[in-house]
Amino acid sequence: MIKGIWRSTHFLLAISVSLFLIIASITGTYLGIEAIMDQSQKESISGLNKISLKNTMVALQNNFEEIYKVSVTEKNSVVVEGITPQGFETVYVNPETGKIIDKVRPKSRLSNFMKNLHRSLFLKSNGRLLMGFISFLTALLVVTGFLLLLNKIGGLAKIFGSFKEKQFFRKTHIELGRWFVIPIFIIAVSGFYLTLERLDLFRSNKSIQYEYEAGQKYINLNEYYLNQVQNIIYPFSTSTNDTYKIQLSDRTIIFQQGDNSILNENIHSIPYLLRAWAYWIHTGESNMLIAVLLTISAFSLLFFIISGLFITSKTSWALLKFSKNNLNEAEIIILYGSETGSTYQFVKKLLKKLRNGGNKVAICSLNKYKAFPKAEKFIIMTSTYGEGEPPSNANLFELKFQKHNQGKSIDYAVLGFGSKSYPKFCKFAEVINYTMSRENNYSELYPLFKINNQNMSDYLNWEEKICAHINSF
Amino acid sequence: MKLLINIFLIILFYYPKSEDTIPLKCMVEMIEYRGEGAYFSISVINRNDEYLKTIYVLGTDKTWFSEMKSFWLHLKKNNLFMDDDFYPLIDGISGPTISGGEKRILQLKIPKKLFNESNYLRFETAVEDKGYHTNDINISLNENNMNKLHQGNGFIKNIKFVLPKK
Repeated sequence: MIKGIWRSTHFLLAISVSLFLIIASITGTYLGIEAIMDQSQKESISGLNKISLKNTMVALQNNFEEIYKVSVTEKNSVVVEGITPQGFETVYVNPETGKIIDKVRPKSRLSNFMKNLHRSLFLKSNGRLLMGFISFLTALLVVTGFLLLLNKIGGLAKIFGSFKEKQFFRKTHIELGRWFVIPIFIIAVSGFYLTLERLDLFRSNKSIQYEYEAGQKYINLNEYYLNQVQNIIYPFSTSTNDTYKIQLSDRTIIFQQGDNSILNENIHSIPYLLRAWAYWIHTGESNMLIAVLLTISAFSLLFFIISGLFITSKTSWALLKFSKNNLNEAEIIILYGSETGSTYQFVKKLLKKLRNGGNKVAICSLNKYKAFPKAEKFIIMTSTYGEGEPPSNANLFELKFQKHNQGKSIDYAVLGFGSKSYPKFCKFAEVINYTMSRENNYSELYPLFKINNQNMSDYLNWEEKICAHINSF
Repeated sequence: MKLLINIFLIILFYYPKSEDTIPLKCMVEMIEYRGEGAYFSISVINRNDEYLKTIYVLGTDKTWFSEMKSFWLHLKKNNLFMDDDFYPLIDGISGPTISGGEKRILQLKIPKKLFNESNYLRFETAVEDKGYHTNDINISLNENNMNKLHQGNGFIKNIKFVLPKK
């Protein structure tokens, strides 16, 4: 039963996100490949953790007339905005020698297009919210998928063991599942977090500020390495009021030019750091291995969707057809009375059986009894409550039955559920059976049958007989 | 053939004609606000609020340009999206947007013929759909103004300029 719920949930989630996932997967693959390409360019510097900030700043001083800003990008390159003999330029540099490697070119329009589509589908804030929600659903999709996977291969211990499956698409779906369950889960969760963060839900978490007097504390630029640095904004002019502002991965430092005394230190809050981590893992822009993994995972989503589509069964799709229970078209009406839901389980069972047999069936609670234009047969399934009283969704039946005349001949069969430990065993079923037998147009399709304590073999016995009767007409 | 001659003529007469510009170093500091990065556009306008030239646009996601409402009207009216001279003005290099508390140094180029007392330099800012300031900065284009610190009215805290050394 539980497995069935997971399966339906998995299916419904997949259907609702698949269209967006296709977009996210294609754009994600593109962006992943871009991240890999960018990291293999010549301006990408390895060993940033060995180059000190001091070393870089001195080297750059000798190669530029004036520097506005130095940034260490997510893609491990060092970019300088400043004045060269050619005028103002934005260039990639070698941080050890300070030499210019290449000009920075703006991102292609295609790249911006892909990025915006991936983030917000061009729908501004709403699109961003939507993509965040899709990420959340995708995380749930991965969880339900993982549970189904465990169920299929028999536990966590056997996750990489062999499994029996001949059908190609099922096999692909499972095989992909066990390889990509973790990467895709991480992509979904980090994507969701990036959206949450943008919605500014973490307002309360303030960063910690320290103010210093000039001369109180000094910064030692030899102690910082480029892998910790995000950017340095140079002083605007030579005036002593103008300062350097260094953005490190965990803090921002403002210091005076000349004597290097720190004026302000701002330590980032935990959400800021979490965001940085989520960005790092979601984009893979600064780690080749992650970029490759992300690209493959994004691409694999397409195969998940395709193979998933092929293995959906008719019962899965039936979940979407809510209107199938058409009381005006049905020839067989199952009327039920159920207090706790256990009778209803049998109702669904019979409904499925009859439907698979090609009959036009619909179900209706006894209280909703009315004129059914095409009805030929009634099958009544009901429990009895307390001292022979009807269940709560059947207490109006007698009244309604008198009110609505079907105006044609009906074959009926009554199935009662109850327990022999009560003296009034299946009393209500008997009452209905008696009511119908007194009607002129009504004839018995099959005699009243009683089931004790939901006995399954008795039920199956009855089901077989009733189906035989229905199909013999 | 006629077309080719036309193209040839256009290249011959128009291509070398590069406008005389004044390079201007400008530092923008944003106020401390939370939320998304700001988009902004910098334009030269005249006394009658008419756009003479847009000289700088910050922001890579064009879907947000429409939030800079006055600039957007100008952009649509003059069909700038079809103008190849417009694209280089969009700064796609120094970062997509500028966030609260951030500082940035920009290099602006103002056409020499527009640099006079009767024209104004306007900074229009918008933070997605959360706020828009038509005249975050609006200063007369004269040399005196280029040596002062100017307070912004919206998302900009202040701006400073440095004129090139003569």
